[in-house]
Amino acid sequence: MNTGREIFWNISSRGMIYLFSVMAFAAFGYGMYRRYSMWRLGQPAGRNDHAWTRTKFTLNLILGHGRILRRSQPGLMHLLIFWGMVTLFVGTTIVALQANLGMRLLQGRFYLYFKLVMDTAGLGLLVGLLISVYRRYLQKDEGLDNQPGDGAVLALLTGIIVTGFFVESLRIASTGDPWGAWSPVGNILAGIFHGTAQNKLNSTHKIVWVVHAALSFGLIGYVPYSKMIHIITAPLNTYFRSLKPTGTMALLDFENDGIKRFGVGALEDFTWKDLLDTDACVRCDRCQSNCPAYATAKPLSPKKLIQDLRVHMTERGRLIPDSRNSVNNLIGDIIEEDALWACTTCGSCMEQCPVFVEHIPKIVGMRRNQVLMESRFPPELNSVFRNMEYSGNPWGLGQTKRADWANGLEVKVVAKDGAAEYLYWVGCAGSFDDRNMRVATAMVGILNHAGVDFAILGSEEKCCGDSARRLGNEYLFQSLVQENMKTLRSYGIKKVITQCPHCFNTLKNEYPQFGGNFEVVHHTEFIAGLIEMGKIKVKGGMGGTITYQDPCYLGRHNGIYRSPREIINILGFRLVEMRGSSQESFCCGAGGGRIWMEERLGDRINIRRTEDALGTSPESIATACPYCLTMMEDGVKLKDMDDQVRTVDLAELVIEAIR
Amino acid sequence: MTEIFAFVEYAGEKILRVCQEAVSEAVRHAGKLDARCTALVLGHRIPPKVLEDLRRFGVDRVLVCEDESLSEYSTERYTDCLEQILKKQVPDVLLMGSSALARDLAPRVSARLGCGLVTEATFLNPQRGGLHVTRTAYRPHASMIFSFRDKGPAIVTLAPKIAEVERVPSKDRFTLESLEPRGMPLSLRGDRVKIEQAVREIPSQVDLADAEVIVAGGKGMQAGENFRLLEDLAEVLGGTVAASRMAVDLKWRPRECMVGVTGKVVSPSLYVACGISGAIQHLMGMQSSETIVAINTDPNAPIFRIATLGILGDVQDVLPVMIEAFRKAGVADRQERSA
Amino acid sequence: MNETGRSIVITVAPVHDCQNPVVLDPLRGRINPACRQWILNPPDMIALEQALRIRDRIPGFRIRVVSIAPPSAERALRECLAVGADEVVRVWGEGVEEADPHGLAVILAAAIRVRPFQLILAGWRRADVEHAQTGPMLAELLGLPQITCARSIEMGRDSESIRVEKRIPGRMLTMSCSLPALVTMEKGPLLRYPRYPDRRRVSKIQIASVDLGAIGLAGVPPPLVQLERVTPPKPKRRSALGAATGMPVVARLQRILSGGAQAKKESNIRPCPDKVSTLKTVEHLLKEKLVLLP
Repeated sequence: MNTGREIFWNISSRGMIYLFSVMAFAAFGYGMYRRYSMWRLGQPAGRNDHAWTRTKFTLNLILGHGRILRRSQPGLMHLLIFWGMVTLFVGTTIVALQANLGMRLLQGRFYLYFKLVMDTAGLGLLVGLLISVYRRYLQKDEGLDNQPGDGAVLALLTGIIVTGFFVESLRIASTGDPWGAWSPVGNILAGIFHGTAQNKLNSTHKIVWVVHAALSFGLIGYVPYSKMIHIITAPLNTYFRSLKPTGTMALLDFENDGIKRFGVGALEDFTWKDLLDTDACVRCDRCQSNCPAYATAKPLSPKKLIQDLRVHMTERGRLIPDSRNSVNNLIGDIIEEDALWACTTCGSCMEQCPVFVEHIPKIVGMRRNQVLMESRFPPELNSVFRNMEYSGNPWGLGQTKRADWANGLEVKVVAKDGAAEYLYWVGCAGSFDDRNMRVATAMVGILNHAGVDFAILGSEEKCCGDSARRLGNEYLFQSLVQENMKTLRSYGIKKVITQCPHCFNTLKNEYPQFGGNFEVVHHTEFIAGLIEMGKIKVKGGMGGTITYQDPCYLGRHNGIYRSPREIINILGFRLVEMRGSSQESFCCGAGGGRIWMEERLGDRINIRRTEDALGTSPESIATACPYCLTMMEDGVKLKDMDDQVRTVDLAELVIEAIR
Repeated sequence: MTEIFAFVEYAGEKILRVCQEAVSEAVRHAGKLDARCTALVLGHRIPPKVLEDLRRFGVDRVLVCEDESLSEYSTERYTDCLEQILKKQVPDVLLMGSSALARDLAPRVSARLGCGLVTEATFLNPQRGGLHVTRTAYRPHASMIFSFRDKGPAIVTLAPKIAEVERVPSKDRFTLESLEPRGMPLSLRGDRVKIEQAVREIPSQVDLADAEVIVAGGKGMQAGENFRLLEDLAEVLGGTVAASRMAVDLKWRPRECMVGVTGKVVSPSLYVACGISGAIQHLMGMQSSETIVAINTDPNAPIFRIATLGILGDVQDVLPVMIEAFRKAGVADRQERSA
Repeated sequence: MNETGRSIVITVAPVHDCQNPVVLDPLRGRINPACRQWILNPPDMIALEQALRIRDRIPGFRIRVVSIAPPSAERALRECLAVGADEVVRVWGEGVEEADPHGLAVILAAAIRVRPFQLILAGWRRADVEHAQTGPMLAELLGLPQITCARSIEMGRDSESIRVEKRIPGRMLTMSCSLPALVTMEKGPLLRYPRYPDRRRVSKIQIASVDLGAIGLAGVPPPLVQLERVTPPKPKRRSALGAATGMPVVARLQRILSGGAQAKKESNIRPCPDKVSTLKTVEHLLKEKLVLLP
């Protein structure tokens, strides 16, 4: 069948398109180069590994849309816009190939399907844009801060689509395209022009065509100067994302005499990946919407952090530096100090971000600068740091008394009884905090009941260092790790059971940076395994409504959501999930070293979360973390519900079920 | 004959409590050794009531050294004065109450005379070879027992609230002597240390970290209004009201009253914890209190682990009884003292 | 280098961290040295912070730390350098562990007087043994005016005198003192946290150590008081608990022997079905003078 159309029909000034394209690509190239040179202000990031894994993941995400679809309305919107644009782009490229290289591609049945697909794509794109307009300006989604640039991009895209359809419909109307029905939208629109004189159609067509060309190439040129840059930076950012668990912080090499400044004190101390992050961010607000600090009116906003860094980077990257702005300090002027210390490192921001922006390493990087270089941090941390250094725990209690909690219990101590199959790493809370000692006692009961061969380090155990690292005191962290590694190595420890998700995360994901090579398991995983293997016989039917607080460092950072719920299920409770659970879980407020600091601004994070928990009308609130246990229990007490609702660790429930 | 000296400080017409204890202890000690007990008073225009009172402690002699230059405490003047007195009188033992003055003066005198000093003593034990004095060390883990080398008087400052204050019939051989150390006014070097200003502390405004008695409330108080019970108890005991973090979060007390690691760290001689469970950050803020009384309905409350005494009960039941009991005892005590 | 000779001396003692118990050697009546958990005396650290603040305001002071400490304390003493002290001198010799407070004061005086100074700052007492004698004794040996138990200290602009705040029960004193002088600190802001570059810089510095001969002493001065022995803690109260407390005899005895404040479990908790327990508690508190009514 003889299908096809005349490319450039009615267009005499086809030289214009080449002019447009040169201008567009020049602007695009220059713009991208400028942004690229700004990213290069940063330090090396070491993300050139695992190229194939990275490529696969990136393609998967681009095509499958992954995280973007976690929210249905924007997800659908973006799907339509994305696939609309990609299809139209591919289609236009096919047309360009035919026009410039003379390849007869648009022919036969293919041409007809081509027309249908293009029209559908265009329509889909238009619908997507309309959803976007609706979200931004009619629904006024509170997370979206509408800037002029957002409107401009939407207007531009809408303009391109509308003019595109009109170009098509004018041509169909004028030429009486026999295959017009294969472009349904164009065809319908062509009906409007029924009866208009042909020369009028042609002249209008010429004008609209030029406008369409200008807008389309304008879009290409505009990409690096608008949020459209994300079509380049988002895939790039996805490709270069961190392959390590989100709870892992980068190692600071203190032995390197070349490093003069530790941590991030100025923009150039960030890695180039950190800076690329700021250009990949599209202000979608998902990082902010579940941020515990932002939700309780602290000055920290993950979105604002990234955007402020972007503005700062743009200023710093100017060709002609503006002396007015060069005196701005990163910390203090660009980023507020209170914001820096408000972060709980819960990871919700990084979990939700569709383009894999890494917020936490930036904050910890800046904290490192403040602690190590400036010795400038909330005053209550002075004694906390010193206590960890001299007593091996944040409270400054006697190192020699670390095993006192186990007095009278059947517990082996490695120094006296030798290393057993498992090391039970108790942690500071389990060793010294009365409430948490009961969890440790429960654990001992469970492990003994199951006949597990385990021992504790007792007074040889020191703080794992999690808080020190999250607070930016990398020096203290590393000295704690060195001391612990020495002990662990000397006893040939291989398998570790932890009670605290923070100890779990640090021992599992960060101690390997120092040569640690252990099999680390959290107590919920271990207990679930014991139950499965029949080593623990529980009487089920404990009954009652229960809700579960997902610890950030167990759930989000390490992906363990199932085992705790299995335990709850086997025990016979009726689990009611609170608002925001599993990946969407809301932090209890204690992480990132915040438990050692005073909460002076805004509302209390733990109250917020307790309200979520109490909203399920539970009889018990279950946790798997000493921080969550403290925070939720305090929250329940403050709400005066401690007579009705019991806050408890899963280990305590299991030991009750055993007896 | 063995001579026991007791150093007496007074304010207004009252002898400092800790010096009363020292005097009583000196009298008892002298009695054990069949020695003579002398009370030594330095000052200016010493009120006769003070001297009369000393008689009723049962001292054998009161030595008074009065001079205008001694009206205000000054390290150098008092050291010079004591040096001369002790060199002349040559007592075997000089007992002082451990007061702010004694902390400043005793070591200086000891170094001046080259004689031994044990501070914050809890027990005096005369042995054949000499006096053995016990004091706490590595608190609360140990005690140390010291003896003295031969030279000079054995100087001992007595820890507060160790010795009983006893009023006994005055001695027949009681004498009152006046001393005038040579070369008054003392310390020709002139005052190198001056007191520029002395501001009286209002008892209710004493900083928590300095308070001797603290009555603290937590969630167990159940309502902000119930803190009035704590205020009453504090008044009877001469103390200050404080709060745990729970009480502050519930807005029952302002943040300045919070005892804890991120609040105020306190070390009073008495801490009454009412309805406070004893979470670790609170314990770390008050664990060095000398005596801790805990009132709580939960037998598993961690506060009981460090409490000297605990009462398992509701604060609303316990406190009124306690306040009344202390009130009655206070009345009785005052009556006895003025008798 | 400091040509003007304006310097502040801080005396720092390594002490046992009493959050950890001590182990006694009952035969020798001494502490088992292996149980010691060394820290730098916290009140001395408060004194060091005051010195640093003086220098922040008036640059030009040299801060010299003098410490009677064994070689194993060097690592801890480095922290003094890291926070900004200019020099650390460690004094040690045979028999120094046995020195009494006066002996320590003699040794410190000898080590300090080798160079001129404006001010000596120290914590008012050691956090482990708590004698609180060495400071004033040192002042006496060096013939200096002293102010003990200060809360804050301010150096006059002319560096000729200091202004000190001190609290005695019932009053807040503001005192002035001519220099040179010795001041002991009772309370104050915590020592600042060292910056990492400073830690690194000082990790390579050799800490000067002197023996007694180098400062002109033949040996450890003869003690004025003799430590007879170290014993488990004795109760401060000499009277036994009355029968009215309702505690079983064994528990009461334990309490007396343990000094009254250790290892509490249920033995000290009395259920309160009526007023009796409360009254007994009040009685006990008054009798044992745990409470002194105003």
